[in-house]
Amino acid sequence: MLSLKHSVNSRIVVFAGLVLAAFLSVAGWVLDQAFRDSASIAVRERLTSNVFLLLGSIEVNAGRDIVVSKDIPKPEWQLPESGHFAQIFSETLDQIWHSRSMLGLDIPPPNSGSPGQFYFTEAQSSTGEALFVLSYAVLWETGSDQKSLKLLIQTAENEAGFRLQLRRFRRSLWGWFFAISFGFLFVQTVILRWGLKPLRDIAQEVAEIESGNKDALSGNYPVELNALGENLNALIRTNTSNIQRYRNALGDLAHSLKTPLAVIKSALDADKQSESFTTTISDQVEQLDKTINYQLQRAAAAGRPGLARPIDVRIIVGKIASSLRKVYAAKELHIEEHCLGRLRISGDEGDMMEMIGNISDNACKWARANVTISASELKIDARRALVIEISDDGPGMPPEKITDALQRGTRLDQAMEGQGIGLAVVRELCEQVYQGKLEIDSSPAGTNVQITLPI
Amino acid sequence: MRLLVIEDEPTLREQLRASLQSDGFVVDHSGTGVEGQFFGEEYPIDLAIVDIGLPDISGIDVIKAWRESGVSFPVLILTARDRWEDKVAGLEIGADDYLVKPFHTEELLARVKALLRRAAGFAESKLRCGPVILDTAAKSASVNDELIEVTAFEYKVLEHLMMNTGKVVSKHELSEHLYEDETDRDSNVLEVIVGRLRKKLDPEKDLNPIETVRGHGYRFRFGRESDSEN
Repeated sequence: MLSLKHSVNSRIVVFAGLVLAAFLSVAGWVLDQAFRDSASIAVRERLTSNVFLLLGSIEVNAGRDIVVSKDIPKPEWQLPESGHFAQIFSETLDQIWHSRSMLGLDIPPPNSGSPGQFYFTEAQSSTGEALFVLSYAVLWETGSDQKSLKLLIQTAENEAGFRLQLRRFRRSLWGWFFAISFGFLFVQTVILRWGLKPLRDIAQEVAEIESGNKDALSGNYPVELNALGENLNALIRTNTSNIQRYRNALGDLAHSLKTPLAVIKSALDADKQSESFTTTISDQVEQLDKTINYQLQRAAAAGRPGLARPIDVRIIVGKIASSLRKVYAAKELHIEEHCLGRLRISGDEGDMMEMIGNISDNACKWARANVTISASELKIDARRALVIEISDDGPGMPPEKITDALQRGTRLDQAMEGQGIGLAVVRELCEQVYQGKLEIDSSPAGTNVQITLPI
Repeated sequence: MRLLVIEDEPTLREQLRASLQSDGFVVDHSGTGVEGQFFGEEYPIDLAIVDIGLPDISGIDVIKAWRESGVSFPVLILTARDRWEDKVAGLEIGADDYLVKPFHTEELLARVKALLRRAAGFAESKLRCGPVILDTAAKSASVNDELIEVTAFEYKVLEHLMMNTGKVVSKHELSEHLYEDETDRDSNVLEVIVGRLRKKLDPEKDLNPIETVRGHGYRFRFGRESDSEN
């Protein structure tokens, strides 16, 4: 079950569900109460008409005794355990008459009560039966010269019928409410799917941008998502332009630092006066130059930008190869390219060119006649990786140089004796920026450098 | 050989000019892209050295404009930008080689000469045309493997003719490529030089390496031997 924090869908579903539950509970309770009231009113009315029926069957004889007719049109009163009862009490709460149905049980008398008033309560018979009871006090006129007779009429009815009705009602009510709930949840799901579709669309488009099929969000979004869409597009643009800005700034910095260095170097080349002085300055200029190069190269590494289309390694290999053919034309090397498959990787084109360019340049420098640049895609531990292999048929690198180049954390001045910064830059880019691997395999027959990068 | 240097930093430009000149080249120079581009289009340049970081327009744009208008001499890019994407961009746009600042002057000279040889169709530093061998590194010439004495200027003339072997080279063209100063250009001097060369190269008068094409100029008669031919 998705945690509320992590799903808009869940939030809406849960809260709407709670609201629905609360609403249905309240509605159910209200309806239940209303039904109860109306059912009990019906009982009361029945009992009331029973009272009048009984009253109509009473006569007071000359001796002030009550005579109840034997033909009361209420057969239930004749049957024991029918659930319908009637009693008449005197002023002193002595039972004067009771219906046949009361055989074997008692129902407590009412409180005295004022004449003409109905009292409706619930009570229990002596056998534990739950009853609705209606009591009515009446003043019976006996004659003009005698005192009126006070009688208490009581009729009662078993609650069982009432209970049954209530049960039936409740079953019906809750049955309908469940049906409504399910219907509501279903409709809600449909509405949510339809309503949240724009969010899914945006996610889809972002995925397409990252896989290189699109350059920017299309912008056909509801008003609420417009701002988001525009911001994402702006982010994509500034991402790419920022990298270019930094590179330009670094290029300008390089220009302003290196041109004076070039002047110094040139002057030293021309002026052969003091050998040792010149050598010292020369060496320092060399070192300055290397340091600047190295730091600038490191700073210029862009890494993997988010929300950008992946780069085509095949094209990069092609460009490097043709550049090298031009630069090393005098050597008449055979530079071969082997690229298998789609070869796309999320990363920066400049960084990729640095890695492939530096290694390939080294290869061409040392090669006797052949250089091969190959790129392919492999699966390593269920992860896709890009493997670039550059080999040459040169005299190879001595093992100390290889360990130096591959050693982690070597300071620039220690590692750079007599060596260009190319390999150090590639190692930094490969391992630190792209979390890849650099392997060098060298023998007097040639050198093979392998760069493995996760895609 | 006539070179063009486009570099905005004056001291460096001057140093370049001086070192190239002392190595025997005629050097035109400019400090801006627009002017440099014009020089490249108007003057008979054999090779250009172009700095990318120019004040008005980028060196890349200059090279691009040259290639689009059909200017085909080799171009060597000089720049502080060491990134491969910049090297690739420069080479793609039509440059032939790339040198990063700061550089060793000797390396610049070597690369310039290599580009010139490549443009003329020679791979090695030795130009072989028939029995005549020109060693561009040693600045010497030999016929049938016998070293012959030539003055600096005679060497320049011979080099230019051999680089353009088979093609007719006018006296005007020769003087433009070989003379620094316009006032020095005198076709009579060239005639004398060519005469002396002929004597030195061909004392028996049986080779006739340099022929006169009446009204047009001179032509070196022996084709170059390509190293890749068996």
